[in-house]
Amino acid sequence: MKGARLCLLLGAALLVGSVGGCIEFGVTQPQALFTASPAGHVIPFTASFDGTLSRKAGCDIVSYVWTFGDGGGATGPLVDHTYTADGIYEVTLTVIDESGASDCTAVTVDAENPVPTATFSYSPKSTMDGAYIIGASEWVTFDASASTDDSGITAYAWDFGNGDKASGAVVEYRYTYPGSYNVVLTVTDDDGDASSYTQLIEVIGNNPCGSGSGSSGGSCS
Amino acid sequence: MKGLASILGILVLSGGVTLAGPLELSFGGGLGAVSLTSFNGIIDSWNGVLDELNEYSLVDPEVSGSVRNLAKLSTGLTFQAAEWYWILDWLALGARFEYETATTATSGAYVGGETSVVNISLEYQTIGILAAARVAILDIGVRLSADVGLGYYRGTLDHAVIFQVPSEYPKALSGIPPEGSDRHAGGTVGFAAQLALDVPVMSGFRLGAAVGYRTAMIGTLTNEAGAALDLDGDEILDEANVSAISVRLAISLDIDLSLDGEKEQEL
Repeated sequence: MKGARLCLLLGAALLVGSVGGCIEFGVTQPQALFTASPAGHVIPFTASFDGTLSRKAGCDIVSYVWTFGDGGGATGPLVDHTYTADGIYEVTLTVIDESGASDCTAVTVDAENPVPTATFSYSPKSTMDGAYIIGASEWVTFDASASTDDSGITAYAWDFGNGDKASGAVVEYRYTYPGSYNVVLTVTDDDGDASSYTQLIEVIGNNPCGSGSGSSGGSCS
Repeated sequence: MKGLASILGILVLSGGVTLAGPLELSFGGGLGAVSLTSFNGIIDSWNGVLDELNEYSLVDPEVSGSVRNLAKLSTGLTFQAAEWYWILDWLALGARFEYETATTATSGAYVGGETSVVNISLEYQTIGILAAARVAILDIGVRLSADVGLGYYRGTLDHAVIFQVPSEYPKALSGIPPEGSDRHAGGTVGFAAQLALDVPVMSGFRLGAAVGYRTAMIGTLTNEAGAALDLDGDEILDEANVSAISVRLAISLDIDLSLDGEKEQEL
């Protein structure tokens, strides 16, 4: 009887020992944690990443591996990365401790597309009392080719301030009536971002309806 | 798993019929330390976020407040009820029911241009039902016994998280706890063993203490809708290591089921 009891005890002890080895009290994985600054900006910009917040109680983190979401990567607790193309990027940090255990965390960085810059010039024009003027019924070339964008402008929209509209980088237009007109150029880039530029145009000359030169646009009734 | 629990339940209920030896009922309670390594890793990470925001509120004159760290979800109360049928004077078969709970919580706010509230609570409960065997190693009035069991453990995690980062905080911070509240539960088969020491304090009653441990890993906990637990939102499902060590005080009640009113002799 005692032999059976001893065998049972021995078996139980072996089972306890083998299973007990699987228990992991107080053992935790390393925890990856980092800050990104700035997390969003117009490209190109350089973001700084700080992984020193990552922690592992009683154990050193031996490796910090970064991926920046745009194909770039780096190692080390403190890294910088420059984004040159717009997009939403997931930045990940993987930390590995002395035992080889790892953890991963991520933040999103918004690399914003720069809006296009709209500008235009026009000719011919004359100067009168220090201001540029153009003549009524005179053909004028409006040129927006000096507008800029990082990836290219896809649309030019003109509003001549009298209801007439046109499109294209360079357009020919003539005002029929003398007056002051706000010419608005709107350029749109390939990301759909747009910006506008407005110039006040002074048009002088005789009103074709016979009322002489005027200060505002109009039409013959 | 439910089938195993049913079998164990039937075993418990039918035990009095199938075994006609002395019956011992035992009830105990005490402290338990449960592993829950993945949850505690997440708590570590959340504490790192709180540390960063607490430090930030110290250096930014426009933001004040701090939120204390979450304690590990590792210790709590444990209760156990067992019944044993002594088929030999040194060997008993029986069943055991275990219940264990562990909770942690923190709350506070950062006050700047607006108030950013942090409120986190986690409550974990384990219920286990096991078929077990007990061996009396030593019985000289004081009884030292060892028992092992195999059974089904069901774990439940109730979690509620509100985590608002101050809008003045100038950086992006990884590891921000996802907000929401839910209950996730799951089950697994586990193994348990314990050493118990008890002494008779009066006829039919024993008072004792037990040290026990179990090992069990619940791979997936799901909510009512069947969604698996991802407490920290890292798209890696969180498993629950419910391995635990417990220390309990126990009261045992001996009931003699033999027809002649005497304990059966050793076979």
